[in-house]
Amino acid sequence: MTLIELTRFIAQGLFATISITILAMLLSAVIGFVVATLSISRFRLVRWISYTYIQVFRGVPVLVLLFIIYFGLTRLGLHLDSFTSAVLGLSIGGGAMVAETLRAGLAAVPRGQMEAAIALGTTRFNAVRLIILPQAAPLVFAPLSDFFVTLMKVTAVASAVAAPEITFQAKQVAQNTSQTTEAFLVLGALYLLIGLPMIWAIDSFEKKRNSRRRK
Amino acid sequence: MSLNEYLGLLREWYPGLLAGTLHTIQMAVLAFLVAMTVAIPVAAARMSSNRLLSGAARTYINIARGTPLLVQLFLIYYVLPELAGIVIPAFQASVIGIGLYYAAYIAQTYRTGIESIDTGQREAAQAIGLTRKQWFPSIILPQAIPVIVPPTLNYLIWIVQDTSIASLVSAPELMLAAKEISAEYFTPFEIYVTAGAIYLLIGYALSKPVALLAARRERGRSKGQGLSHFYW
Repeated sequence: MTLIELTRFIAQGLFATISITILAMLLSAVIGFVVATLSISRFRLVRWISYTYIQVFRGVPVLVLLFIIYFGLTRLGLHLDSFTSAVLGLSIGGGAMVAETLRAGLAAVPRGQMEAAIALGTTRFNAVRLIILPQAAPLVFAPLSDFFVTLMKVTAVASAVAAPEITFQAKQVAQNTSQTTEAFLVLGALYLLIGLPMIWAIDSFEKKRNSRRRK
Repeated sequence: MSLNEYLGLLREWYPGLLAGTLHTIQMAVLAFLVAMTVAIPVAAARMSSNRLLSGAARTYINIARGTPLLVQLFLIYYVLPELAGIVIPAFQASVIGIGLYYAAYIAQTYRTGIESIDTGQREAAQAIGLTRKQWFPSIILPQAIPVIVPPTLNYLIWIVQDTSIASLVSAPELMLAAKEISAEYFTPFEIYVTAGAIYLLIGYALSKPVALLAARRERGRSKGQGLSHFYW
């Protein structure tokens, strides 16, 4: 294979890599938001459910989750294809990460803010919406955006359940030709192609925000 | 599968799982040591006023942040022998790969920790005539270390989880042990849930002292803060 053919073959996985990333981002944002909301519920049982979800799914490696879903559930009779398993596994684990980040952000807003809002006659819902969230949002921005870059990288693990993303494609080349070195170097370059713009965007946004704060 | 059957299997799996767990812990600790050590020159270079040095450190950090750990393991395990003739066994390759990967993240922690110290501290030290060799270790570091230690230790928890990726280059550790058992017994669900539980337990055992350390630091700074007792 020429280098161009090889790159083209690996790049066939780009669509899967990007769609797994985006779907997993959206789903983990939804799961994370719901679980974080439950973590400040007034009912102890609801808080306990949220806490347990976060502890369990942050504590289990994504690869293990993927294998439980892809190999384990199939054995139990529920067959999900590799793409769906990858999205689900990344979202369940990612949801716990997002939830923990949001929870920590909410907990970092001084309690007096809520008390003051309520003392002034604001409803709880409005207090959270207008007082708490705007103060928590800047705190969670950096860890959350870093996490989304991590999520993009973790999609590589989906190659282990044969999801046809770029790592899987590169492994195919490595197995079937003698061009292992080229395949994995191209693979690394493709990830940088996706990852670096994300990192630059985050870093420049952070820098802008920091300089604004200093003024 | 009934509980009794499961417990019976666990008894058969026990030696393999235990060996795998010990390998996982060993790999994680070694990789953590590599990461903490490599992170020192990386952080120093990143903060250097020499443009070439800080540019090199920045490139290193961004490559680690921008590519998956799995790909870096592939590069060390499969590409390095071909390209440079350096053959490294899977376990050692994983230790190095995970170590170098996390060194980038830990270097950032070192840097932000040191930069979090008020510049007035440095200025005061310079004003009373201390040299850089004097003020950095005696004024800045003692204040930065308590800031740096909790987040750095936290990375050990993530490293333990990421050692599972080493199974994809066939390094002997817990996940590879689980795969072998799964292939032998055809019980993927049970064995992977068991493996997940072991990772969970290791992480839980590690998170307790880390949380305590972080809490001790927080206590001094803010009293009675947080929304933790305000629920909707």
